[in-house]
Amino acid sequence: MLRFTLRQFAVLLATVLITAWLIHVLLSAAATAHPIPGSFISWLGHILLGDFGPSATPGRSVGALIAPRLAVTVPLALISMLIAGLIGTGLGSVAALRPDGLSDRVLVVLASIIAAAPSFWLGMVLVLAVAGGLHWLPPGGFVPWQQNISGALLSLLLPALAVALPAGCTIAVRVRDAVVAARRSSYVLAARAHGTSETEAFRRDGIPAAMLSVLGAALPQAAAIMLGTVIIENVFYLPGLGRLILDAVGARDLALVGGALFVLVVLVSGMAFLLQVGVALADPRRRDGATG
Amino acid sequence: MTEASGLRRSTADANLMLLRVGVVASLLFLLLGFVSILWTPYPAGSLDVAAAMQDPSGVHWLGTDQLGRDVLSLMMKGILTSFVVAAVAVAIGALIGLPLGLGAALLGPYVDLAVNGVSTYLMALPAFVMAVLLAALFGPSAATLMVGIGIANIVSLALATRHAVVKTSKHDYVAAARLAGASGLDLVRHHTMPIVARAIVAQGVAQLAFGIIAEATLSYVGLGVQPPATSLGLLLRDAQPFSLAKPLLLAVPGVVILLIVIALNLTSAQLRDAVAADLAGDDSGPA
Repeated sequence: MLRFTLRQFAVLLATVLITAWLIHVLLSAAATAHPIPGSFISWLGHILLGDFGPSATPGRSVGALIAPRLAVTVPLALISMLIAGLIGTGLGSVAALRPDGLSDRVLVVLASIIAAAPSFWLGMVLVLAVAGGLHWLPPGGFVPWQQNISGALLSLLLPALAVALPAGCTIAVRVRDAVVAARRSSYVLAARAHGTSETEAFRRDGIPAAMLSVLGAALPQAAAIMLGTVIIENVFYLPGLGRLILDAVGARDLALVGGALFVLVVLVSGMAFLLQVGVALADPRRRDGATG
Repeated sequence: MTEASGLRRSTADANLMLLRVGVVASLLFLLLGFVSILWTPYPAGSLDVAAAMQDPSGVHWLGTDQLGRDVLSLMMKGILTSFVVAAVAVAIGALIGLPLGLGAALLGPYVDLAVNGVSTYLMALPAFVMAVLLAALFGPSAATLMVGIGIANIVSLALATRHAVVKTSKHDYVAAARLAGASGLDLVRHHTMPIVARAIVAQGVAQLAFGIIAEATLSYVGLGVQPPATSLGLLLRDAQPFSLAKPLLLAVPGVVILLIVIALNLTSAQLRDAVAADLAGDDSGPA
C-alpha cells in the first residue's frame, strides 16, 4: 500500500510539474504588457512559497486575487460531489431493486438522457424553473460567507445541482449495473448455498463488491465535476476561480492566467490522487494492477 | 441452454436496433449540418430587427432570435460547426493518441505506467486548460478550440488503444495462431488489428460526443467559436440574456445538443459492447 501511494504520488508530482511547465512555456511565449514573471524554476519556486507575483490590476498580487475565489469554487465542488454521490447511489440502487422491471427501465433511460446534457445548459434551465415558479432559491449571484452562511450555501445549491445532475446520473447507471451484477455473482450464490438468507448474503458480500466498482467509476466523474463548477460560475454569476480565469484571459493578464490555472491543476490532480489512494485502500486489486 | 441462447439472441436483436437508431439519428443531424452549406431557409447571418423575437410560425419554423435571425437556419449552421470542431478534435487525438497507446502497450511497463498514470490525473482538465492557454496566446477561435479538445482526446484514445492491444494479445486465438506458425506481422494484421480497430472506432465516436459537449461548453464561456460564425455553444451564449423572455432560444440548441450526444452515445456504447463481447468471447482459459 505504501509503495502504491508513493508511486501514485510520484505520478501526481510529475503531472503537476509537466502541466506547470507547459503553462509557463506557452504563456512566456506571448509578448504582452503583463507577462508571467521569471524563469520556470523561479516562477514555480515563488509559487510554492505562496508568492504568485503581481497581477495586471495595480496593487493586487495574483495570490490575493485567487484566494477569495477558492472560498466559492472549493465548497461548490464539494457540494456537487456530495449531491452527485447521493443521486448516483440513490437512483442506482432503486433501479437495481427489480432488474429489468418498469422502474428500472424508466430510471435508466432517464439517467442516460440527463447524463448526456451539458451541465451549464441544465443550469440555465434550472434558473428558468426557479424564476418561473420556485422562488425560494436565489437564481444567481453570491452571498459572501462572512455575511450569511446559510445564504451562501443557498446560493451554491442550484449551481451544485446543475453540475451534479449529469455526473450523478452517469454514476447511477454504473451503480445499477454493479448492484445487479453483484446480486447474480458467484459469491452471493455461494453464500446462499451455505444457507444465508438472500438479503443477508447481499448485504455482506454483494454491497461491498458493488461499492468497489462504483468508486472506480466515480474517479473520472470527480474531474468532470471540478471542471463543471468552473464553467457553471458563469451561469450563476458566482465569483469563483473559473470566472477569474476567464476574466484574466479577456484582460490578457497572463500572470494571473498562469497562477490561477496552476491552482486549478493542483486542485484537480490532488483530488484525483486522494480518490486513487482511497479506492486502493478499499480494493487491494487496484494496488498492483493499477493499470486496470 | 436453448433458453439462454434464445435470451442472448433477443438482447442481441435489441442491441442491433439501438445501434441502428443511434447511427441513423447521428447521420440525420450530420446531414442537416451538411445541407446548411448549400441551403438554409434564410441566410444565417441576415438581420431583420423588425422581425425579432418571433414565435414559431409558417414563415419561421422555429421563430427568430433577438436580432431577427431565423433560428432554424442558425441551428443548421451551428450543427455543422459543432460537428466539424468535434471531428477535427477526434482526428488530432487519433493522430497522436494511437501511436502513444500502441507504444504504451508494446514498449514495456515504464512507458505504460507513464501514459496510464498521467492520463488518470489529467482526465478532463486538458481541454479547459489548453483552451484557456491557447485563447490567452492567440485569442479564442475555432482553431484553438479544436486543438484544446484534440489534446484531451489524445488521452482517451491512447488509453483505449492500449487497453484493446493488451487484451487481444493475451487472447487464446492469438496464441493458437502463433503456434500455427503465423509471423508477428500476420498476427497483427489478421488477429489483433481488426478488434483493435473496432475498439478505437467505438472510442472515437464517444470522443465525438465529448467534443460536441466540450465545443458547446467552451464556446459558451467565450473560449471557442467567435461570431459571425455560429455554433450550438455560441447560440446558447447569445440566448442567455433573453432566456426569460423567450425560453425557446435556450431550448432549441440545448435539445439539439442533447439529441446528438444521446445518438452518439448509443452508437458508441453498442460498438463497445460488441468489442467487449469479442474480447471476452471464448476466453475459457485463465486470463
